[in-house]
Amino acid sequence: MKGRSITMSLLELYQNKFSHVYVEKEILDHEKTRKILDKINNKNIILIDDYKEVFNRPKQNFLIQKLSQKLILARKKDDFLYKGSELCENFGYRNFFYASNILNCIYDCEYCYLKGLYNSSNIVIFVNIEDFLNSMDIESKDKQIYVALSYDSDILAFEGLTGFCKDYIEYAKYNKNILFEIRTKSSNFNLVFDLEIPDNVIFAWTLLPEEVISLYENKTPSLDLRLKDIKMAQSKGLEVRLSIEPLIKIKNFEHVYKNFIKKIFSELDKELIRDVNVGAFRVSKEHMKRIRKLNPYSKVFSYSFEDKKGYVSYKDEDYMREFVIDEIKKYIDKEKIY
Amino acid sequence: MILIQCALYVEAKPLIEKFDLKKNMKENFFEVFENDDIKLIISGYGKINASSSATYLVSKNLDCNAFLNIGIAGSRKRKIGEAVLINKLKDYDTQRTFYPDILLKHKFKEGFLETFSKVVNFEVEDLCDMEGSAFFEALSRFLPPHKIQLIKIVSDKLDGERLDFDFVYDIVKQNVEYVEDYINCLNKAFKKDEFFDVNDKIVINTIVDNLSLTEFQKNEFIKNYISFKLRKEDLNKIDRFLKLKVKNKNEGKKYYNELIRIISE
Repeated sequence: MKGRSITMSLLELYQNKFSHVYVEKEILDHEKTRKILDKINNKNIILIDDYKEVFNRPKQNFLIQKLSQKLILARKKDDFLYKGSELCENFGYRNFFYASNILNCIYDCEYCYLKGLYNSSNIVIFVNIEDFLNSMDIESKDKQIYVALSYDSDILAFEGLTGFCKDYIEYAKYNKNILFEIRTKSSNFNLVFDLEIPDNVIFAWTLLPEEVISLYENKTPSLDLRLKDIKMAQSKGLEVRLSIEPLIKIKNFEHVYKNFIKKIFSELDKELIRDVNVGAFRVSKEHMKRIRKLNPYSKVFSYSFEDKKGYVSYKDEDYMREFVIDEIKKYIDKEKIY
Repeated sequence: MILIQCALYVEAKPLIEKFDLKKNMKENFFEVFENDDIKLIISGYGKINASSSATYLVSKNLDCNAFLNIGIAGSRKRKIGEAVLINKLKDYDTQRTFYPDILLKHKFKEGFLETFSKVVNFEVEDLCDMEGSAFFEALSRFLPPHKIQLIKIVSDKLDGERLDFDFVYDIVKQNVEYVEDYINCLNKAFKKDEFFDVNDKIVINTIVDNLSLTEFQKNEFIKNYISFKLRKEDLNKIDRFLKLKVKNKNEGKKYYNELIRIISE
């Protein structure tokens, strides 16, 4: 494990990921449920009435559960589309929504906002994608909408298990009023490589310097693997989005980020970069309190943070962002930088 | 520390012997047997006894690594003597369900336990007892679900036959090695590591004392010291504060501000 004090011998005591799968009785026969269950070996299936019985239990330990994450398969009953948060980049789209087929993530980034968002770090997969698509039909009936699909999770990281990206890509071919963004840290693009990907599906990769990845982004693919994946997408002619966020402070910040930006643009085809967004680490004050309470000894928060009118960020957030943007400007037009 | 609850002495006896637990003669409300690492409480049968004894013991040991209920259960589907780690339980009276987190590897079978207020002699889905749900529900107020564990040993087929003392003792004893393995894992996995080592504690206490820090200043200093340590900064930077001794409040304030400036980023 990267960036953690937990030793391998301690990890060996824990059960494998998805050793237990909690399944809502009413979706036990759903096609997606069956497909997902077929792909998981040596699991204990525990039938439940409602996913909240398990997911919302009091006093769960988010960090310890991460060491042996369980899977919960459920049916989402309402709120298939949420309005996007103001703290997120909407890339100029007025009707910005997000959809959450999956709650929580298999990666374990120390700075992740999911920490403290839910009581549990177990993964919930809502299998009823047909209801999500119906809701998108209705919402986009008379207007264009922009839907982020990887808001509460990394949907491409789960593609081998769920096939959701494929479902959304197929759907996008027939609904031109929709614009999807699939954002990922995974190296799973090979799972959708053979599909015809329409213009209204944007693939975005979240990238940070390898020094940050190895310190703080536990269980995620390395920068090299992500770049390899992006190159694979570009080889299909796809214009990709790069998301450099959240900017995480590290010793020798300028040197590390300068080399990182140089590496990205020396390896990727600049013509096939749709845009780049650069975001600082920002969470609400209350959320920051929850994250810190969960792990008061997190390295990532050992730098100075400041309360800035309702949200918390690094003291020198503006400088960090400007520095990185200036570096990017050396390689692409500033109009492409958000 | 591991806490254990057994409804009856006969269920506890093989554990008392295995772990060499001694009766704590100072305990008046429940029988408690213990050594340096384990405390075992005999609750008596039924839900009220289970919840009151669990609450009693946990409230004095909130930093325990786990609390286990170990005892016999009825099942028509399982083999007599089989030990089962419970991954779902239901209170028959309230119909509420509970889910212990099973995070660690173990050698048990896993199963579903239903808890009844009266002895039952009809078919249940998997296992049944008279304490489990109350034990879990009471402890849910105090402990996270990965620390509340139940191990049930199948003692009868729900045919109403009275169980003999030696028989119960034997079936629990047969599983004691598995229980011991699991307790070792729980202890190892859930033990909290201390962030501050001995040297940190000396540094903090000496500086608090030397600078006559107020409670507020002390908390701020510790908060910043944690970040300082996490960033792996050079401890020599605050060496001088270990050697000086302030004479009055103003001097204390001056050095405190200087100290915070140095250790904050």
